[in-house]
Amino acid sequence: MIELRRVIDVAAQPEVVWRRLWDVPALARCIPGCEGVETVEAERRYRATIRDRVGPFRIAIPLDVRVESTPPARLSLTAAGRDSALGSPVTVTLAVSLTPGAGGGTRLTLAGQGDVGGKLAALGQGVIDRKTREILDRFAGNLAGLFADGPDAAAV
Amino acid sequence: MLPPFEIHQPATAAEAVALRAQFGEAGALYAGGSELLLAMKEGLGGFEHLIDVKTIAGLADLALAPDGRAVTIGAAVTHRTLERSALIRQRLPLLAEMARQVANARVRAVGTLGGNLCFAEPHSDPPTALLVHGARVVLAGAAGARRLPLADFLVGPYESALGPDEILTHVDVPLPPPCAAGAYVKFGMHERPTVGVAVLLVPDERRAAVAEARVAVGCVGPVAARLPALESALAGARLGDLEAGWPQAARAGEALDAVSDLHGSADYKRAMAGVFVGRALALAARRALELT
Amino acid sequence: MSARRIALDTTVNGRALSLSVEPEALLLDVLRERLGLTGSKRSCDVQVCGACTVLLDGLPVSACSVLAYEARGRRVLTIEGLASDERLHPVQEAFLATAGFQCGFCTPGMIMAVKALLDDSPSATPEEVREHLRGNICRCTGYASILAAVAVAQRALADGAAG
Repeated sequence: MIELRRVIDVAAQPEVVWRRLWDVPALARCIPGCEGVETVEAERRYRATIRDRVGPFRIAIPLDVRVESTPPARLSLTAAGRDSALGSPVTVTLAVSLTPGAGGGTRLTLAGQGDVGGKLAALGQGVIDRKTREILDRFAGNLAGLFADGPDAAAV
Repeated sequence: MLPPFEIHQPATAAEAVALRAQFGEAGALYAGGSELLLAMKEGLGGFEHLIDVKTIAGLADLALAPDGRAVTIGAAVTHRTLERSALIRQRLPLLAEMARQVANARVRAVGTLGGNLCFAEPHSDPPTALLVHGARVVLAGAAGARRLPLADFLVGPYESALGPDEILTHVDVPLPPPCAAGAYVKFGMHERPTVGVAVLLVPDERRAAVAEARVAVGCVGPVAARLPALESALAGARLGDLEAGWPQAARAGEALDAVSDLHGSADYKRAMAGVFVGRALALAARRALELT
Repeated sequence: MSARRIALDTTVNGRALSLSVEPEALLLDVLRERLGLTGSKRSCDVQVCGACTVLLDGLPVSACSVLAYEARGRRVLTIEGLASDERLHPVQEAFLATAGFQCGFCTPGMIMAVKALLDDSPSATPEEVREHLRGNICRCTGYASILAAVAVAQRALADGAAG
């Protein structure tokens, strides 16, 4: 189980940041390997697939993503699925809180957790842990980049 | 059982390289199959084309290099061959000691050195023993051959520097100085090792102290690695002290990038690394003293 | 022959055979399903337990994890190939003498591993025997009777029993 705790300070105002968070395609682009994002129920439920590789082996994880939000300051999501090769359960939870930051900006506080079970974990727990941490770290970095250059900037 | 595939039989490295380029990710190099077939049984990697490297002429050759200063080990040489070879036992005894301990007799009969290095399983023996010899791998690709230190070839867990249209043809292992003595020790309760330690000691002229030490630890981190700080600390150490048990060995694990997994926590693995570094040093020191 | 099959000319227990197999066919499945040689067992399926041990050109291999393709032009020996019409092999006799088995599931693989060892190193020390048999797991006996069987077999072979 990998935990992510990250604080990101951006110049944009909280309302602007909140709106940007709901730009689902832009958010999805922040997640390494995320493809094929579909809206099942706007602001509540989505589908996406994470693709990555470990050495010569490719991993594809279709995820069912459920979102809860307390506008305009907090949203949490739970993504659950099984990797397509081995059927191992994968769960990612993420809570994002927005608070007013210095100089009219916004502080985003991310608290997340990634969990891989079953055979995938048994075969390469150390590797999987590293991969999960890497994905969560890059996501946080990309998210920061999303807001760094202003609301119209493309994701890193 | 296994998903369907075709088997291709290149006669030369160039043919194998062409097949790799042709099949891309749908193709897999196949030697002993001791990792590949297991992975395919698990459902990882549905490769539709297996490229059998055992049909390539010369890939199972094992010989002293023309300059007499290294041994060239073909990629398709099995662990069993390394274990039994008179050349390896005489000139690279640490490798023979390692090969003898790989997995079990059946895996040693089919598993190859090249296959092991290219699969880059962290919990494995050969890289650790090869690192203390400064081994280099030779890769053949469409652009020609290139040579890489093993440390640069082993990029990460299950990840080698082998390019998508390259094959590993052989491993060059420089001979250690004639007065050197070494040891390979391993520990584990699972099928794969939890800790592997290789030590090579070059004694000084009076054969009482260490002139140069080489220490590698495998299985603990994402890749096997040398311990340069420990190697420096060992310079000048008396062989007798190492044989009796060198207290600083216990802390050898602190420098390691340890990964928690089913073999144990990172702390446990670091602690075990310290224990087995101490034992390997003691064994190598004893052998160095016996050579006098 | 369909395009997805390959010709396999091999010798199994002394008999020359010409088979047509899928490239992905495992040796164990060909032995058990095609040839009815069910002495070799599928147990762990990952080369750890040794219940599927057969000899390929005299070397012990895990039939569960070796392609039938690898047997082309080579000699395969299974547990069924040890005894002659008249007598059991000395290793088999030794296992009987010491009761080196209980349920018998690991026994074919164990015997083949012992045969490979003694063919290669008839004078293996008890330490070497233990090392070699590390890859064959028995859940019943606790191994003492198995190691005793190896010692009995070594003496019988040294005394000239045909092995």
